Amino acid sequence: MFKNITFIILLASLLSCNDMLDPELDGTLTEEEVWSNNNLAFGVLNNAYNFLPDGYNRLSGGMLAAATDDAICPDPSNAVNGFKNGAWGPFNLIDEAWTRNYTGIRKANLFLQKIDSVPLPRQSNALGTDESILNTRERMKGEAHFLRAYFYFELVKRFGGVPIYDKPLSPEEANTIERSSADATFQYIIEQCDIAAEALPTNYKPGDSPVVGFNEAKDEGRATVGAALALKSRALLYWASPLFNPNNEVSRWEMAAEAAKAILDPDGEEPIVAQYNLQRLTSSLTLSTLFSTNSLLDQYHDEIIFSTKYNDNTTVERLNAPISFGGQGLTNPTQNLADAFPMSNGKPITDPTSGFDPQNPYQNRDPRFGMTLLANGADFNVNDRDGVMETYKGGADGSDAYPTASQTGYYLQKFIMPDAAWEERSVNITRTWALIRLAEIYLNYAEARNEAFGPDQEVYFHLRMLRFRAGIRRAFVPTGMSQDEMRKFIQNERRIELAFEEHRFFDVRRWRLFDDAAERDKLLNIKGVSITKDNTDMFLYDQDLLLEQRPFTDNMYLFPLPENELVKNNNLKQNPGW
Amino acid sequence: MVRLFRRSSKKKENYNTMNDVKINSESLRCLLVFVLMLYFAKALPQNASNDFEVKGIVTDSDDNSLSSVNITINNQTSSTYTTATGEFKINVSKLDTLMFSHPEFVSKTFIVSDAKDITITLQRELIQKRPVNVAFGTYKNSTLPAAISTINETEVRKNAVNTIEQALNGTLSGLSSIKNGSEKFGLSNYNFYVRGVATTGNSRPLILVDGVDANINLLDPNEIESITVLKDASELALYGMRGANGVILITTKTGKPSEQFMNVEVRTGVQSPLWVSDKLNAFEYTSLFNEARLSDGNSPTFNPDDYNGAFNPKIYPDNNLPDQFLRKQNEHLYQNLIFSTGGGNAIAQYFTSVSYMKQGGLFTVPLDLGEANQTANERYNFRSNIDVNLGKGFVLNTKVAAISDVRRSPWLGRNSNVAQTNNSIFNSIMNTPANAYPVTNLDGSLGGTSEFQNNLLGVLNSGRRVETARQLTVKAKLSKDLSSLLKGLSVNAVYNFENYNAYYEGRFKGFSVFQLNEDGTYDEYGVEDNSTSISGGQMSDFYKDETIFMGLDYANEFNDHKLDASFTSSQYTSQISGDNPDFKLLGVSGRVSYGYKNKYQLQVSGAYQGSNDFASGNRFGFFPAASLAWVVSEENFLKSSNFIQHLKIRSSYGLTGNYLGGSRFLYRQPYSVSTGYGFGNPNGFVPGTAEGRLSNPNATWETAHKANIGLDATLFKEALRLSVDVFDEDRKDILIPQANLVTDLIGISLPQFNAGNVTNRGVEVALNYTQDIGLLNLSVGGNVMKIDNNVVDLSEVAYPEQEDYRYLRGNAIDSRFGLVADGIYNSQEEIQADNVTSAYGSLKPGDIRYMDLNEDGIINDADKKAIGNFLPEIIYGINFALDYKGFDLYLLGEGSAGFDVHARPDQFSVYSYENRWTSSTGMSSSTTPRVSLTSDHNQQVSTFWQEKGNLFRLASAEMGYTLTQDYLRNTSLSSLRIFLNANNLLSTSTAREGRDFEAINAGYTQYPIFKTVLLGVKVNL
Repeated sequence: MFKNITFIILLASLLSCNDMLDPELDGTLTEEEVWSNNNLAFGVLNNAYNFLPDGYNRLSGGMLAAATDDAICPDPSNAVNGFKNGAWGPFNLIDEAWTRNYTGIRKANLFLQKIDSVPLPRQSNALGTDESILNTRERMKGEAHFLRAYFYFELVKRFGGVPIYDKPLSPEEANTIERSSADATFQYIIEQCDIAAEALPTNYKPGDSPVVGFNEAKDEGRATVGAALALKSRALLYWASPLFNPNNEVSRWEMAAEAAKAILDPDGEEPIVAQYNLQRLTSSLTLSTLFSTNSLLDQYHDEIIFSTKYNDNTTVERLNAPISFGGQGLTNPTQNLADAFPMSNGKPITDPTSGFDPQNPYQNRDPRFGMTLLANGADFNVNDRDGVMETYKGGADGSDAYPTASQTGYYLQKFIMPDAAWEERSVNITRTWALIRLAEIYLNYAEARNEAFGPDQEVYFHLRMLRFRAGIRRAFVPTGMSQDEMRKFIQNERRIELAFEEHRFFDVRRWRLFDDAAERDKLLNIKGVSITKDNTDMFLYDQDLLLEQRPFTDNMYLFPLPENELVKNNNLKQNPGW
Repeated sequence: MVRLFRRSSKKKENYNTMNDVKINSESLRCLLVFVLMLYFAKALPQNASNDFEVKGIVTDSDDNSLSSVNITINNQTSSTYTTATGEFKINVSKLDTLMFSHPEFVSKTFIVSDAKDITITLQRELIQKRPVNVAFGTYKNSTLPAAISTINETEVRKNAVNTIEQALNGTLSGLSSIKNGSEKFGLSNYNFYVRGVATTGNSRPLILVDGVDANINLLDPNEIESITVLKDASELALYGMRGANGVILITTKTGKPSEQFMNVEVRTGVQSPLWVSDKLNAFEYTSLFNEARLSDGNSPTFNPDDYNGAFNPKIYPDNNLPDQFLRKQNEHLYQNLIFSTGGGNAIAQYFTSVSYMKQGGLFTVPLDLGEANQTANERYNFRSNIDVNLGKGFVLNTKVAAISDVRRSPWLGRNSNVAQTNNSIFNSIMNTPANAYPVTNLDGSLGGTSEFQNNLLGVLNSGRRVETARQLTVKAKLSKDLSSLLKGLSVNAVYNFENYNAYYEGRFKGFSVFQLNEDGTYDEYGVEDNSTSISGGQMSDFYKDETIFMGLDYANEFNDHKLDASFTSSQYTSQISGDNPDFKLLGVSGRVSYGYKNKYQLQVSGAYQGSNDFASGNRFGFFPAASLAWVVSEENFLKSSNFIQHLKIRSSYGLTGNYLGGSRFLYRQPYSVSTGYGFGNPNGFVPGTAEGRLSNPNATWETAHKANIGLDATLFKEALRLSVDVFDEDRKDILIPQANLVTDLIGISLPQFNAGNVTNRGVEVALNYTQDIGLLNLSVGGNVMKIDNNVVDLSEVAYPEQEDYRYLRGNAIDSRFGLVADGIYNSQEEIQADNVTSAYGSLKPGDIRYMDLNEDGIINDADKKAIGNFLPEIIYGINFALDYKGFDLYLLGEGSAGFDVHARPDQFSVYSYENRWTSSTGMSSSTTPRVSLTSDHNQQVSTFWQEKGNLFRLASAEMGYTLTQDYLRNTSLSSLRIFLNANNLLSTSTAREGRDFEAINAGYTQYPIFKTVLLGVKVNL
């Protein structure tokens, strides 16, 4: 008996059951599982869409506009203030685009590398027939090319030429790859846009899809031909601009003009633009409602060519609404921006015949003024509070009301929906971040055409269309401008039309505006308005309140590459001056 | 309870017959033994066949009578014990041999012959000869070749107030304990390191209770018999890939074959914060805030004179929040009630303990809410350890421990546990500006503003969180003596599990705050709820550890040769909550030890072990070690020395591993169903798939190469005990994140790879001196460790030549990187003269001047170098004990030195207020930079804020008086001790503002550290 026990115990102790150590089921998938299942494989690209930028208070609550002459951020510790207090540098990128976009690029690359080898199901299944799966694949490859182009564009506009690759990199490759030139990067983006445009449908609207297998309304929001061509137009415009076109090769402007025209009015083809529409702005269809839906509006406004998915939140309102309305007032438009808006007769306020009254400055302005800025005396409604803005000294949101009250005398109106509520009750707003909208294509076209061919009727036509939809009579675009005057006009129009949409930061750089001493002063001397109420309850305005004098050195035309990338890959060279 | 036991003992004869009942089924017998253990223990066998009664007395060499000496006849089970006065009676026959044994004395045999009345004198066993706990068993200290340190029950009890962790401070040489923050109520308060840190991964020692994995946070210190730290390879190799960070063995009490004892102990006292910082009043705060605004070029915000009390304090408040919301010193009570009993005979021994502990919190709550919302911790512990000799060579040991722990705090949301809630509320009390809001308005409503909606009175009154944790540990060990097969052979099997679960429940009611305007109207912020909400009720934490051992032991002597061997196969599984595969380990550990004449001991030990964290084929590793001990005092030339009683030289070398150095399952590349995207109109949801981090198919554990040379000595008739160790660890294959080396261009996260190498070298000395001067017994002891840590290689990127100071290699692994400060700029001219810019904000007079180490004209992160180290290079403990007649005194101090503390005062602290730079103040050594709301320049980690750490703490002090039977003759008590115990009584800290060097934020932004003073009474029934 003893022997038996001994034997059993000894045996048990020496049994090396390696099986016990084999992996258990957990929430992870293997590479094989993913690339043998079309649905999971498509998921890789769906996931990549999340790496598109979302500009709402993206920089720890601050908006990139606060790094331009359009706004300031009153919270001194906010990251966006790093752009102007000297903190910006290779150790402090503030706008973390490098890693984010290369992560997106890898996803697109991986998808393109693997998708064709995913086996088709033996028989039709819930996902569709072989034919529809193959169709979807081809379309999604087009999306992958588009996304890749989009991510590279986000990089090139910040860094200039960046390393280009179209397959998932190994660690060794990542550590030795070199930067391509800016020219090569732009060319690559344009080429990817062309490939994408071939594979993508014009839209996903119900009933419109000509291709079998597209999930109709469920796919809206994916890239379209329009998106690919629009991105191409933007990329060509940047490539033609002084920052990336030092020798001013006019052919680039011509190509940019042509690319924009391909969307707006192609010769002899059906216009892509047919499905997009610049609706006239009204009190119920404001600039804010392009980005958000309310009960009256659909998602994907007619003007949107490409945008992020819709999210339900009140973050934008909470962060940007004035404090007395329960917000944090983190983005304060400047007097510089306010002055850029013309009068409703189309004339700039500097024109003595414009009718501008500095002591009644908000009257008879371009309707977009009130849709973009919240100025003293404006009616405002958000968070179940209805009131008149008081940004004068002693007013409810005047500069002395709180340490973080707006010093500029303005709060943000654009993007803010009156329905939003977050304190006593919660009313979310369904909103998207428009990545490309039709107005930009008009501006792209006007700018490129003016540079390539001068201020001809084509240029005027599109600018008038744009102003008309803003609520200014067509005839109010000043006539007889020289090419230089027209350039200034377009730059100004771009600023006010696309304010707070993350364009100005990059526009002033691609135009190299800081090279011009007068422009430079305007860009760096940030002003607000000081409003006092006299004893007759009249407001006195002083629009010359200098708030900040920001630094700029030439290296700041481009972003610094992250320092810890340079030490890992010695072939990467830092941008000059950083 | 007590009376019940008393009564049952009187009935012992009724159960005597149980001994003779024959039960065939061993399992049934075992069960019965469990149930009736107490009665067995009292059922001392009375062997009727013996001829006559012998009585006598047992004393030690100083003529003191000895109690609880076990007396057996002819090595049989029949036995008795000496009473408290050392007397015994036993029935014997003439030819019988009596064996007198006691754990602390050398056993003695006596042949009865005709003796009727005998006196036996026992010699005290040399301390070194007592068995000590080692890996998978015990071993005689005198020939043990390993480096270990041990404390016993008494030291544990005197140092631990509510957790065992407190007993590990300064008492064990080679073990560093660093406070990891404030009082945490039932959660771990310390980080422990055995002989320093040698990895970037998990550096926590393996903590085992009774040989198996256990959570010690909730254990009752009263249940502990001893704590041993295993420090060198000869023992650690047996733990395979779990041994590299050292092992702490905690052993719980078991019954001794002795007369039953019953103790009741009551401890009650007060706990109070060791240190709480001062606060600025409203005038000071607002003027400092204005100054910061001005120094940034902005206009001032406040008029400080508004806060001088002349204006409406409901509009211009000046709160002293600590005064209002922190309890006074004598208001937070500590209570502890312990009942324990134990005893047994040669067949069965038991130890049982039941205890209750309660400690209170720091925040005040209004009386009408009573204690319901107050922070508190209550714990119930139960333990029953039973050892039974089942006969036929079988021995069964069972250990059962059950714990129920309840922690309470106010409510701050579901994700904020009790410790976090306490920290957060404390931080609000300390760091809410004095002028932020009136606590209550004139109409009695809660005050607040849009910025400060969490009125503290509202928070403390509007909800509570209750966290309940339960822990059950069951261990059973069955051993079988196989001497009949082979002399000295035995086998055993162990099954152990520990099950922990915790859940929380919150009850709360939202409140709104009101801000009074100048015109008498109020603005309301927040939403007041009409009814109470309930949150939680689900399990919030869970784990289950399971261990199975199968062991084979062999020990035999052949003349002068002694051979010991033991092998244990082990299987360990730990299940934790979440989508996390179990931790599993499988392996065999063993040792073979050969001794010659108690003079030389050679041991080979090791483990062959595998973990499921690694790839098949790469799972198992072999960790061997060899060690040697030479007991010099057994050599003839020392054997008769009066000066040296014991002298042993030992050395060891071997490998042990750490499988928790990095992420798990590095060999796999996981994909996951990941963030999808909302396509469609209205937007739907399409699932996403994401590639996980890349794989490292070669990933393996860290390996520690440990060498140790040591010496143990006992000198001057055991008055002086000394241990000296020199150690050298070379930790290899440390897991380094590949992301440190590969650019983000790759677009995917990367695995860790085995490349790091860190060495730890050091010396340890432990010394203890005892002296009896008449009736005065005196003992002084101490231990000290000095450690030198060096990063040989952690695969760092190649920095430019002029920036070679940026490497961690060549420095200690716990290095702090920061800027090198060189005073404060006094003027714009000084700034211009330096011609540098700062990436942390534009420079102004009053800013810190940093050295531009790479001389590129910019102060940025590239100018940061290793400026100091977090962990002490020297740790020490000093203890002092004396007893005189019934009086006893114990003191323990612990200290550390050779580390650097980064103690940057808050800009709005009293210290900054008093010492800040302004254009009018001069510079002194305590001057802090200008205050600023926009610039981070002065907030950087730098030598400016760094101080040399040097800490000494009076960790414990106890003073007691014991009343013996002489005074208790008229009571039923056999002894009574009254004592005063203090824990964490004071610490000398030279840190700026008086903050604690270890828990630098305790009492500042975190809940404080407690000191405890308590009065105890321990009664032996």
